[in-house]
Amino acid sequence: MAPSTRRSTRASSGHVADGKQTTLSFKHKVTKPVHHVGKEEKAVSEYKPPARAKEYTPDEEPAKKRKKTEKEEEKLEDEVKEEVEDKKEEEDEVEAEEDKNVPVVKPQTPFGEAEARAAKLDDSDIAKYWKDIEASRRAKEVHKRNTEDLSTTEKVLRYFDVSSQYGPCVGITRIKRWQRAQRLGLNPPIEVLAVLLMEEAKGNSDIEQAHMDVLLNSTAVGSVGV
Amino acid sequence: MVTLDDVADKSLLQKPSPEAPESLERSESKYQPLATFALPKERNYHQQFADVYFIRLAKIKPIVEEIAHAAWEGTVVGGETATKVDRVLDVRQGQLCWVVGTVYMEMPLKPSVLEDISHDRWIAAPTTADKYYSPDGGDKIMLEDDSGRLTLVGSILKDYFLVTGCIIAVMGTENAHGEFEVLDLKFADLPPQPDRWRLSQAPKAKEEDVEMSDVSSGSRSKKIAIVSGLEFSGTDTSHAMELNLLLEFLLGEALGPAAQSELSQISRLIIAGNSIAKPSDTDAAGDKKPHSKKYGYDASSYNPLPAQLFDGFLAEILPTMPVTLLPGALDPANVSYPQQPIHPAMFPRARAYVSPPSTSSPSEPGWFDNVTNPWEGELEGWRVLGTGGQNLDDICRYIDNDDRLGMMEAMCRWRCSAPTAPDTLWSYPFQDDEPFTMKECPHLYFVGCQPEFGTKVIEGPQGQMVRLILVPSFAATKEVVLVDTETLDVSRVKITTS
Repeated sequence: MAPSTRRSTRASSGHVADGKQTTLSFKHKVTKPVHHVGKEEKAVSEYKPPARAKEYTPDEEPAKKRKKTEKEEEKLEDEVKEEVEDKKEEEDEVEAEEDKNVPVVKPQTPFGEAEARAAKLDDSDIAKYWKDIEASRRAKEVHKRNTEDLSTTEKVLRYFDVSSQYGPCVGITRIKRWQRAQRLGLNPPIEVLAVLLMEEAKGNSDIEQAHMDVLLNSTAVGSVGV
Repeated sequence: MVTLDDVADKSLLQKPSPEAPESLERSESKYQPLATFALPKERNYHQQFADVYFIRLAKIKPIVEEIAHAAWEGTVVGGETATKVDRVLDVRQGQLCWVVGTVYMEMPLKPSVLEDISHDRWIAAPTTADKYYSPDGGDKIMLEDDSGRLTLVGSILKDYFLVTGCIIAVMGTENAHGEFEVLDLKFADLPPQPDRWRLSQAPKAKEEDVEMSDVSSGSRSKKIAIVSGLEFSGTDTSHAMELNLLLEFLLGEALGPAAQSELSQISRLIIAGNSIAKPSDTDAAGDKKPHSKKYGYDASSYNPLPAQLFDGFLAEILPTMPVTLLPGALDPANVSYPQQPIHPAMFPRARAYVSPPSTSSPSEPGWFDNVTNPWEGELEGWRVLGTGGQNLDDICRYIDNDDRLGMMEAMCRWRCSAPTAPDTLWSYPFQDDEPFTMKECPHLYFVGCQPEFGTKVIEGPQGQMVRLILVPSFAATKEVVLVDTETLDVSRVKITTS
């Protein structure tokens, strides 16, 4: 949760109160250290937002889902233009492949469809997905020895948990959270669904709840109710 | 012998006229309620309320982004072009940008659970403020999304109604204090409006040819009566006479044939909340100690009279007119929004008119329809959205203004019928889908239990037209609202005894 707001005694409340606003100027002394590339170059194209959980579009994607992502991508700003172009190239290549081996029987519901796609992925796809995410991180991994005993499965799922753009991970099972994100059109990575289905098939019910959820809901042994 | 015909002049007795008086028939009501706000019978509360905000933002954000993109893309202010920023925390000092998020109002007078817990220790008297708005400017407006919060400042914020939970796009820049100075603001605006008769069957034109007697009723348009705040009470009889007169008015018993033919146009009565008054302290017989507590409550302190009176009222009206009943803040329904329908067990006599519970797919709505609050349905082809008043009353507390119609308009433009849920309006923690975001624009939006009557028509960017109605509380104003179903014009009827 965000820390409590600073209640600074400040002049800006004075701004609101008397209704006069000083002219905005972008030339004033910037008090925060900001990495400037130079005002001549379009600051726009150089500025990349901090990497969120990268929306890794997987290789296989049916035509209509791709159209939706393309439409969404058209609306994205210049700063992610490079990434968008890469994705589009990938998808164009794959489209040719997929048309050849499109399965004849398609399940009716959208989740059935997503599950069918997820079923096609195997461990090597998941490993590749995770490697790509790790490769995109610029900082060195500090807590590597703490995460050594976690399987890639668990790492992928925990990364999905903390991706806040799909909503809070507490109070909802992972599979339902994935389905909700899918329904709202947020394009959650299909690899996560693949992992969840694989674990479910193995009968592993530990992965249903987000790990953070388990920690938050656990009660200390021997504690008495408040 | 003198016969009646000799002395038959108009001042004395007259023979009964040979024509039988026309029997008036009430117009039929074309009705199709929607179960938008119905909650499942077994609902769990394990989930957090953050899901509600997340769903709201995820649904409305793309729409606001489109509008903001269309408005601001390429605008140059002070030599800088505006750029879109994905997350609220991505704004950079000195850079002109725009971002979409949920508004959060930080108000010291708002009830806060943490303060309540800390006060628990001191036994301080809880101050329930009527308004959360603090006049000395202690309120802060912040923009929030899943990454964090950003304080908003700027003189333009005063021109708009803003409450916690509405989704906006703001353009501006971060100043030296870390606050975002807002230059411009955009909402999602009205959602697409369905055509008339989307869900139910429009009356076919040939109906008028078939029966000649219907021609006259076909040309007269139907009306819907909306009333709220009937507040039947066991102890408070200040408006009991008016309630009786209301009953006679709706039944057509009270007035002459001319008025009766007008009344027969009223095809449906909608009761928009607060039908049973709050039990006063004397009702509960607080002096006597509870004798026996069976089943966990003291049966002798319950006063069944208000519910009985209301049941009697309904049982008299129902034979002639279909009724839709929305629960209100004072009614025996659940406290949190959306309120579920009042159980028919409360109305032993009116119960006969409720459609029998069936396990098969939803059958036709009964003559007496208990519905949720808020309620959405199609009435005479028009999409209607109605609430019992809690959402508007809660929004009023945030704003230092009495312009309730303006707030209703703002709700439509924010596309959210209860933005302050779950912050200050108690609500169910929705996890999969949140019904308060308006997917389709209603043609008629009414809010019950208001202090005063008001009405307005608002327009949307795609030509949508919405009629907004504030239905006054009958107990206070003794007024009934009549809505014409062809033109959506509104008139009101005041019932007085003087």
